[in-house]
Formats: sequence, C-alpha cells, structure tokens
Amino acid sequence: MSTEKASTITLTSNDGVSIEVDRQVAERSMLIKNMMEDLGEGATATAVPIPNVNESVLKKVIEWCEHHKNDPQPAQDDDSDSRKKTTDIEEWDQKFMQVDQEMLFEIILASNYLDIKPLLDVGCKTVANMIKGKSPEEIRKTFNITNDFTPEEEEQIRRENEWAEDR
Amino acid sequence: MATPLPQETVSETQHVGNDMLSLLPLELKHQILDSLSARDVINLRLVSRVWAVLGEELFFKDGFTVRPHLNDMARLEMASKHPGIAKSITSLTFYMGDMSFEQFADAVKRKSWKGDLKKVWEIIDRMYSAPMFNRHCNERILSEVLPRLPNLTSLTATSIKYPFMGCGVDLLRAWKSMMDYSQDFEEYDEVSFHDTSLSTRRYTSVLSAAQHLKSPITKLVLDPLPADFFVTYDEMSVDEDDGQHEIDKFLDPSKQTIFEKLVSHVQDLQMGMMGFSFRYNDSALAAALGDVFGTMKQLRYLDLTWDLADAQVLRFAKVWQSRFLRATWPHLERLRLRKTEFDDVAILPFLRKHSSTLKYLELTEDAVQVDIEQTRTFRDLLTGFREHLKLEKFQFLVTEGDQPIYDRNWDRVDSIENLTWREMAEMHYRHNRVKDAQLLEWFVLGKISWPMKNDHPDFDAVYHPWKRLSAEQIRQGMEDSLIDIDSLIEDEWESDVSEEYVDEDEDEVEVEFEDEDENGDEEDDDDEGYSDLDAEEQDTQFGQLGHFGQLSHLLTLGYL
Repeated sequence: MSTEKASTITLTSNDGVSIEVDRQVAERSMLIKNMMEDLGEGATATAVPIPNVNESVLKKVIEWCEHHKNDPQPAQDDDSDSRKKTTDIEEWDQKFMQVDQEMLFEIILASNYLDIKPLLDVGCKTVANMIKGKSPEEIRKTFNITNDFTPEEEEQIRRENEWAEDR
Repeated sequence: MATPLPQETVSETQHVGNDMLSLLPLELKHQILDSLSARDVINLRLVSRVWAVLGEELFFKDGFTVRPHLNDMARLEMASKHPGIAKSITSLTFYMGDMSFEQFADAVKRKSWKGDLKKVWEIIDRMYSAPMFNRHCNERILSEVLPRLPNLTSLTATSIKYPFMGCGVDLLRAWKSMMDYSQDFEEYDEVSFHDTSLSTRRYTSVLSAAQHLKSPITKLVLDPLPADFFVTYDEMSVDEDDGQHEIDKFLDPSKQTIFEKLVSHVQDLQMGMMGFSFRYNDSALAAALGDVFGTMKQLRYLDLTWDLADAQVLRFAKVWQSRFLRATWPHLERLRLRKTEFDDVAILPFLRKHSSTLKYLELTEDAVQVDIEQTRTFRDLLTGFREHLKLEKFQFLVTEGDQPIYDRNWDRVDSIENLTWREMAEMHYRHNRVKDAQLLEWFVLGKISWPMKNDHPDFDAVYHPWKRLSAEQIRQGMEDSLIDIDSLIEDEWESDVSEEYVDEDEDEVEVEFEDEDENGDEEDDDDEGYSDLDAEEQDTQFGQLGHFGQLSHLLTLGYL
C-alpha cells in the first residue's frame, strides 16, 4: 500500500544519531503514527527525537518494523486474549530476539515507549520462555536476580505454593 | 495464618548487578506473567520478593477446582484467607461427587479391578470417608470462603464430569472399562448414578453460599441442577425407605430469590435441569422457573438441557415452556437447547425475537417437538429458520449417531485434538463424508436447497435418519443461486444413491485400518473381515460393538 504522502521521516536517537526511515515502517510505532496524524504533513520535514532509545536499539527496532511493515495493524482490544494463550513466536522473530539480555530488555522498553504492541509481545514472550520450566535458582542465575528472602519468608512462600493444585 | 509481604519492603529492594527483569515497569512484568502457566508463575514466586508478590494475583489464573476426594475445601479455605492469592481466584469449579455409593459400587463390582481401575476405588473410598464427605461443599465453610474471593466471576458445579475427568489419574480408561458393561450408556445416564438427596443438598449449599459473593457471577455452569433445589416440602413425610417424596412440593420463594440474584448478571449460562423425584404439580413453580430466565438481561450464551419429555409432567412442562419463551435477551448470541420439547410453532417467534443478535443455534431433535399429526415436519421448521434468522452457525442433531460439526465451544470438530472421547467414538462410526448436520447447516444458512429426500428424519433408521439427495439434484434446485455448490461440497459429497456409495466406503475403510495397523493397533481380531463388508453391514457391525467397541480402538490408537 504505497501512498502519495511524503515517504520517509527522520528519527533521532538519544545519542544524537539521525536515521531516515520509510514512513510506513516508522508508523508501526503507534506513538509515531499518532504524532504524524496530529502534526500533519509538515511534520515530516523535521527530525523526530526518540529520547528514550539509543542508536543500536533504535536500529534493531527499525529492523523489526522493516520486516513486519506489511503486517495488519493489531486490533486495539482484541489481541489481549490470544496473546495470553500462547508463547509461540514465529521463526523470524525468534532469530531476531537472539540478542544479549541487555538488548532484549532495551527492545522491550523501546517497543513499550514507541507503542509497537506486536514487538512488545514478542519481547515479553521471549522472556516468558526463558522463565518456563526453570527452577527458582536457575531463574535467578539467568536474570542475575538476588534472593532477597529471609529464610522465614521463603518458607512462607513455599507453604503458600502448596495450595496450588496437587495433580 | 499467612500474611502478605509488606509492599514497602518490596519496592525498596535493591537489585545488584543488572537485574533488568525486576526493573521492568509493572505493566510489563504483568504482561510477562500473563504469558506464563500458573505452574510457572507459582515457581517464579520463589525467586525473589518482587515476584512473590506479583505472582499472587495470578496464582489461580487457571481456576480453582474443588474435588470431593481431596483436601480441596481446606485448600480453598486457606487460599481465601490470603488477600493477594484470594484475588487471583476468578473461576471456581466444584465437582459435586454426588453419585450414590451403592449404585457406583454395584457398577464397579462387575469387573475385577486392576491398575487404574483400582484407583477408582481409592478415589471412591476417599470421597466417602467421613471427614471428606462432610466438608465437601459444606455451606457453612463456603459462606465464609466465597465472600473473601473478590474477583470470582465464573462458577461451575458439575455432577457430570466427576470423577471421570480432571482428577489426575487415568480415570477415563477406568470409566471406559466400566461402561463396557453398560451398553445403553448415554451422557445423562450418569445421572442414574446420582444420590438425588445428596445432589440436592450439595447444589443447595453451593448456591446458597454464593449469595454472599461480593462480585457478580458472569459465567455459571450447573450441570445439572436438581429441580428439588427450588422446592420446599415437609421433611417428616419423606418416605425414608425408597427416598420417594410422596407429598406435593411447592416453590420455595427464598430459593427463587437466591437463584435470581445469582443469575442477575450472568452472560454465559450452561445448565442442565434434573427433575429427580420432583412431582411437577405446582404451576406456580413451573411459572417461576420459566420466568427466572426472563430476568437474565445480560445473557449472551445459553446452553440448556431439561428433559421434559415425560408425559406425566405435561402440564408442568406447558407452563414452564410458555413462560420461558416470553424471555427476551437483548444480547443473546448463542443458544443451545436439548430435550426441552418446545412446540414447533411457538419456538420460531421466540427465535425471531432474537434474530438481530442470535448468531449460533444448536438444537437436538428433542429440543423441539414437531407435530407430525398436523403434517408439520422438521423441514418446515428449518425453512422457518432459513427465512427468518440470520445465523452464522447452526447445528441440528437428530440421533445419537449423528455426527456433530461443532463441539460445545462452537469450534469445528474436524480436528481430532478438539474432540471428546465420545465425539471420537462417533466419528469412527460414520465414514468421512459430509455430515448430515453440515448439509442441514448449509440449508439453514441459505447456501443450498433442501438436501434430503425426506422432510422429516426417520427415527427408526438410527444411523441414517436422513436420506440424502444426490449432488446433482441439489445443483438443480439451486439454478438461480450465485453460490458455487461444487466448491461448497467439493468431492466429499455422497448421496444415498446406494451402489456408488458402498464402493467408495469400502475403500475408505481399508485405508482406515491400514492406518491403525501402522499405529500398532493390537486389536487385529476385529480387523478381519471388515473390508469385505458392505457399508450397511458395517454400520450394523459398528452398532453391535457400540460406542465402547469403537472407543477401545481409539484407546489402543493412543488417542485417549
């Protein structure tokens, strides 16, 4: 669906790097899309600052948007149910998410800020998949989490967890 | 008792290193938790304080089930006292365990029990042990527990499934073996295992306690609710010997109030009604039970089974039906009726009233009584649906052998994972041709002309109640239509023009059994001779084997 509108816009990362992007690609971000609609055609002339996202993360996010530029826009409310049901991730996205943990969380935060729901979903599912089936100690190791329980507290949580169904 | 971790401590917790997971904004943590199973959430609670607290809200995200042979009532009681975890209970299921010990024992005795079957006994023994038996569905306990569940919106009380589903051991196999001895078993025959007074007592406890709920119930499953719940009678005159209540029973207005309150916000109601020993002789009761449906203004889905076929209750049934049909539900999308015996002339205006919202309709043959003496037929009824309703899905099942096209969730039953064992057994019965119900759906949706030679099913021909026209005949009836019938029926079409049909069937059956062999089917004996039977004989053979002969095939195939 190519349009007659100005076809590229410039985004500026928080470390001052400007990146030119197809408007259709950039508008995978609902934040940018709404901004463009609010500001009208004139807005495309000036660079759009993305204050929360650095160059490497912004490039990564644009790479995702590039690949998914022709996906249908997610429905506003409708997605919540289907999202919860599965942690399946399509193959390209799985490969895309094979990054170090810092980048993974940066992508999640950036997609949350830029309001790119499908990318946020993929990010959260990737994290969920890293949690699934692991013991608490393994989870702590994976994410570098400190066990901040007192022995009493830990024992209490353990007791509560026994209320879960014994199948 | 458990006290929740203090919130301040949690937020002040310092994370050394780069624990970015714990530093995510709260909403994103929730989104991650949403993607996890309840088991993973519970496990995650042991990682750190942040997750211990966050995990509370999703602790019972898959719902809480109360089973009669386990300490589930105590578990529910404890969980309800933990404010965070109590919040996570949005859905509560009671397996009523209201079968009669004697009846059940009698059925079980008919076979020597080993392996999984022994577990049936263990479960029964535990169910009927005094402490377990007295606590299960205890009204006093539930009246304290239920008000502590602020987010409970879905309530299920079922006698049908327990203990054959959802309790961990492979009871399905055990049940199946047991049912080999009960050839005429049908879904509601499980009710013959009921202890009717126990059933009434337990449903009454659950529903009475539910009036103390703080949140409105939007999904309610009562499967089945004993009609005795609604009545009052003099306890002294109950005949203790045979449990038959000889006196008249009348509407108990307090129960009517409880029920009306419970259903006042219900959107999704799945309900069976059981008459039990109930003497249906109170018209006020019939009227009240009919009127209560009219009060459910939020109703979107209704799945109702009530066996009103018994001639003794004719007057009661007439009053109830006429009151029920007065109901108007502004949001009704899906309706499923079984055994309700509505008058064929009265049902159509009722459905037309809902035609702007009603999308899915399912009826069994006994949901509507067609007066054939007035020369009316099911074809007339379905023609009325076709002309006056705007349905998207329609299912009309005529006999036990009729293959469903939709399951209870309105998902297509083509894919085998979605099938219940019963549906699988039935699928094996008939071969892979277009289902009769599918043809009737296409008719009601206006896609094809009347596809049958008969206007009314032939109930004596259990496995072929409908006689199909040939595809060619359908095509002729659709001359003016824009719909491409060939793409609709593809090459699956088989009419009942017999010879052709028999040949094709034979091929299919051979293929089927080859598949089974590959899967290590051990029942080789059964295979012999099948391939040279013609279709009719095969049906007879299948008929003799019954559902459970078929089921054993499926069991050995590892489907179950």
